[in-house]
Amino acid sequence: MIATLQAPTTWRFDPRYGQMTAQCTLLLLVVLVLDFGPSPLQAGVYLTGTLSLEALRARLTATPFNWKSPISTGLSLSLLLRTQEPLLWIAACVLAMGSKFFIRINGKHLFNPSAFAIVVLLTATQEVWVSPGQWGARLWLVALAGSMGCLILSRVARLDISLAFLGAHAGLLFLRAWRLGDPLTIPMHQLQSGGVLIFSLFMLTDPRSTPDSRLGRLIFGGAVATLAHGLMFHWQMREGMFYALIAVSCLTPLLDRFIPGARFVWTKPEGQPS
Amino acid sequence: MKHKTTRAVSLALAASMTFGQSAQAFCGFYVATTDSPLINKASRVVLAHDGNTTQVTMASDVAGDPTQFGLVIPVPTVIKKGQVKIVDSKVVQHLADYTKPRLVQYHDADPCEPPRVYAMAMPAPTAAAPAGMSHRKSTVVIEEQYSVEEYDITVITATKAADLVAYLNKNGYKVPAGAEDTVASYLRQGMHFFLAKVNMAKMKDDASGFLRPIQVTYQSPKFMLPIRLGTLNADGPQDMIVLGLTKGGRLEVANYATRKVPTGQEIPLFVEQKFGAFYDAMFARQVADNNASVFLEYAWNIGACDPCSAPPLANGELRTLGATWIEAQGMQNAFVTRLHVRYDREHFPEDLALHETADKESFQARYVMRHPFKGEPMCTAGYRYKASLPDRFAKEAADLRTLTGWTPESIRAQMAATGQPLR
Repeated sequence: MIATLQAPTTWRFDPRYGQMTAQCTLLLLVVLVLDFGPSPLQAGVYLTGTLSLEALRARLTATPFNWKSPISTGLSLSLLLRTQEPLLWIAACVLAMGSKFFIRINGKHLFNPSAFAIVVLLTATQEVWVSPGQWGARLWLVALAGSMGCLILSRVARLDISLAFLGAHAGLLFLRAWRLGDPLTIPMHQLQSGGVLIFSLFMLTDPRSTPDSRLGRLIFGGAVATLAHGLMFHWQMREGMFYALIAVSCLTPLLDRFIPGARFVWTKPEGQPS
Repeated sequence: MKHKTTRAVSLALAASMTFGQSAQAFCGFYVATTDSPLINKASRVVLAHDGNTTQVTMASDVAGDPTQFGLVIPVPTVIKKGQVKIVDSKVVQHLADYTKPRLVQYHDADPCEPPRVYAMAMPAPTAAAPAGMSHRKSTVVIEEQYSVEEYDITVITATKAADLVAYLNKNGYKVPAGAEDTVASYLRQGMHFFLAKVNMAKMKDDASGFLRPIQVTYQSPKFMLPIRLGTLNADGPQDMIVLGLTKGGRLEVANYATRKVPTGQEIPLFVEQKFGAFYDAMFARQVADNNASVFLEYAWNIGACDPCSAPPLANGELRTLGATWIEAQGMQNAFVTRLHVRYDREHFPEDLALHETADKESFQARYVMRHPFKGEPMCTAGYRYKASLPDRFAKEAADLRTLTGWTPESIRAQMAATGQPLR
């Protein structure tokens, strides 16, 4: 029952399989059970788009083709980004994979690819949206996503960032309720948001675009939660979490510089782009 | 001890309203049990949203002694006289009719003839109307006080919620027990309270029997519907219809799930006579299965409908309802969303945070009656058609049962009485 912690470079099972399984399960749920999910065509375009761009990169740079990461990005886009414009589906793939290939500092991509695409498109066009309430406050969904996510992340050793984010997020919600004199049912309801959990478990935890050190990651998670809280409650930005993640990601190189830690590698230490 | 006279209730935008002995919420609604008209007790809020400008038109479902009427709404900014308008309730009614769930009927053609289809939209039965004032002091500050047509309006704030509640009670707004904490929360969020009462000397009769809707315009990034005051009453869940007019696409709620009501089902012919009860029963089941959800009943570009349950709205009507970006003449570039929420304190602890999406996909709550061809079969296809009818009726009965929870016996009897016998 209790997973043995091992050094990342010695894992045989690539945790991204688990992550993709969890994302696929959620995608099936949103398509089959919930309303306003993506069309199968849209999800298909996201997946083929990200995979094609990765194939192109591999060919142009004569490096190995890595199929897991683009699939994960395609699934994230399918779960979160809504638009009815097919050209914007493709634009999302280009932005996500482009940011991963080209916006790099110290050998790491700076932004979570799907979050970057979401923020750029939200800012640049009126034709996209995210539905923060789409997942509702269903405990079963939260439990499902949570348990699957924890299982995966405990192996990727990035649960710390989720916990820092969720802890700060919860703390700020309870603080707000206390300040306003609101009943506890209000922050409890806000905490049950499936959307927040999905964000914190599948987007925030990208090992390659978050700080290397544990302390850096704790600071990172707390900063995203704090900024997101301000954006959501003060500026009324419903998509505040995504903006906060992109903004705080700009600090990752600084955190890595001042609080260095061991660089994360998925499975193969050498020559594998990720 | 306390007698039941005016009891405050809430309203959308954080409103609370009182009305005579009926003590209904602005957003109040008693669940219909018989052949009541479709959701006719739901309060209605029209929200026209463009950037940071929101125009809220509040129409109550309550009829009663106007002297007993009072409206209390938390608002994000101090509302000045030029920001308040009184709207003809017929315009709100028109938009509500235009977007309401509809029953559509088709007549099966003679299977031996070339295909012909007749379609006709039949609007579901319905209902609508508006809002009322006061003053004095403690930490309460009267920020604005003015009259707009038949309403006397006061905008107040206070540093102490208890003072504000005392002010409301003193001025005839009987606030529900437990309101003080909620009022305090709104005050700490920097909100103000908009109060309205009817001035009988200026009362106009708009022939609907209801008070005329009040429309408030404000500039604020806060795009929400404060429902918390409304949940303080022990009257059970309340219904609210939110009619959104936006430049972009569908309106949704950011902090609760939005679900589509079931649509497109073929239902037995007898439902035509009790469509209101059908919809009530179906909606109640949806609420039970998807607690804490807001339901989408209609989403469409305002310039088109198919089938239409009411004549299209004129540009002037849409502008009256707050869609002022629409030119007086020309294209109606607006999207209309109809959301239906049945809320109570247990399932909806916080206010509705609204969110405009770019989703322009059309949706309507639409139910289909297919009248079988009654002639004698004159060809093989005709015999096959007749033979297929019992299975079709059985499916309609099963679907109706799933949707409403009505008993098989009752469905069977009523179908038999309308020429749709089950085997």
